[in-house]
Amino acid sequence: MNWEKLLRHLEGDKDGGQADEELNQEELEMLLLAEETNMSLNRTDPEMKFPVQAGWEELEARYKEKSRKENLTIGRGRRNWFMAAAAVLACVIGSVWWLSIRPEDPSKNASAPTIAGVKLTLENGKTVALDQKEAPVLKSAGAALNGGTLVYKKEKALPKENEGPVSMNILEVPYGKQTKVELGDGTAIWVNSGSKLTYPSHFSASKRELTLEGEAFFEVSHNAQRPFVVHVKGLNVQVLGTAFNINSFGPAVQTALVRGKVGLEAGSRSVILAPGELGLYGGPNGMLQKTEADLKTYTAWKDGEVYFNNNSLAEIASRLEREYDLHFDFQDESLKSLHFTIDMSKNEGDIQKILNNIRLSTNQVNFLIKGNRITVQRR
Amino acid sequence: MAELSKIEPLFREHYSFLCSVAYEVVEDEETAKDIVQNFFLYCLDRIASLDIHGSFKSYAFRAVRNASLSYRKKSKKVDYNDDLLKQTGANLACIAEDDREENEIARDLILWQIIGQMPEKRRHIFLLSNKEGLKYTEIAAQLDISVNTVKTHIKLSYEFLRRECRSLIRIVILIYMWIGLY
Repeated sequence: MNWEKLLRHLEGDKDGGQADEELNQEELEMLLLAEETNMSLNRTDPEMKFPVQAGWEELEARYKEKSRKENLTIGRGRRNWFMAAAAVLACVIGSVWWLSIRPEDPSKNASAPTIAGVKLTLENGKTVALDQKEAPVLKSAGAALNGGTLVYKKEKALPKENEGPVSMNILEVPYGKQTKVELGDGTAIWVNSGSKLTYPSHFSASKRELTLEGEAFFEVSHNAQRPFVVHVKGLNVQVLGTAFNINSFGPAVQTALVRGKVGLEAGSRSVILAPGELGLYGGPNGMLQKTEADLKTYTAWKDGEVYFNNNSLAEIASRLEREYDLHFDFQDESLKSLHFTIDMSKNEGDIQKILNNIRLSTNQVNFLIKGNRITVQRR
Repeated sequence: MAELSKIEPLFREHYSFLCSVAYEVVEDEETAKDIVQNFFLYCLDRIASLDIHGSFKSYAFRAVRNASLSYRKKSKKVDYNDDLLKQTGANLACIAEDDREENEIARDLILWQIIGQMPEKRRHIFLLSNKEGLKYTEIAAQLDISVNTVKTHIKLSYEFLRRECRSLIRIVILIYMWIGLY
């Protein structure tokens, strides 16, 4: 039991304190005991302030309202029929996940990225595999492999200004693989399947710039004097210290901001994202806009999770294709618009298990698996 | 509306307590109620698919506190943490032994008795913190001792409290059952 931490919670330090996520079960029980003790000592009866009956009536009303809204969507013509099916499927598949509960493993996803097949082109133009065998070459480039992570030597001081042009490394991650890079300035970058990251071994003193194709999650170390910029498909993502995910696989570049603040800049237009917001750039009319979104959909991959929140089968297939190195053929285009909700850890099942769970949750699709080709059929 | 009737006993048992937990953090009654209402709506969506054993209370407590803390930090997304719900094995379908009302009453009855058994100085510090709501630094200044000493006393108080609660609750429950027989 970590008492220092717990005492901060007990004392009621709400702003400095982290969320209770970080407390273990024992610590939490203690906090619960303390909270109850506190209430009885001060003779505060919670019922006085928060009467149960009124609360219950409110819950009934809210729940009915919610169910009514969901029913409305179902009753709206043929096109929405898919939505309705999706809602049902989402529920069913949800229960499948709940029932196939994973074994108790609070030690969380220790999903070491698999890096066999990841290629790195060094500043001098030489291409090497990310493999312990290449350790001497990597070392001469100021880097080392630590499990699935490529770690650069921490910079001790800012480089001198007016150094020559910075030459670039290119990290290429094939389908089915993932890797993580820790740069000299303390920034960590998770690079997802089918993506390419171009970055210098050393950033210049005044600016940190790199280029992304595909998808990556960034945890940028804070330094206001040294802005961090990600270039992706004509969009510049300007960063202070922050954590966010960029996905440029679809028609629009999606930037999902978890913490901090980033500015999106495309030509003369710009948008500032707050945590919880998703920035969209591109698409048919080249728009630049933002919206609120379930960020877990965008960041789950980095934690070794497969997570979809009512996403279409087309979206799900396109992500699975990259992350599992597969190819999906849809025999019936309309199947693409079925919606599913999935929440599982990559550790707990291979692709067959994922597909099987989708199949079990509906009577409409069937998957034929041949090697890495998957045919989606109407059942 | 079968789900509603399933969740009703849990709601009636814990609603007020959870609201106060949220209120402690967000310091606004309406927001606190809203957080707890949303939490139960979230549980309602999942009730059909859950059938495990464990303490609902400890899951709910954590979920509501976290939701309140993140509300306070102005982050809009509230995550009730599905994993945790599974991990703590919250049982939405029936009330677990730990959550029984008798426990609450028993706790109240014996709390003062336990506190009475603490060494005098420790009791004083514990009450200054819990009843008067003083910060650790304030207590240290008032009693002219170091903050670390205060923290140690608080820590020992809670450990003592937990140990005593566990054994006493067992006895009190036995007495309840015994009275119930006659």
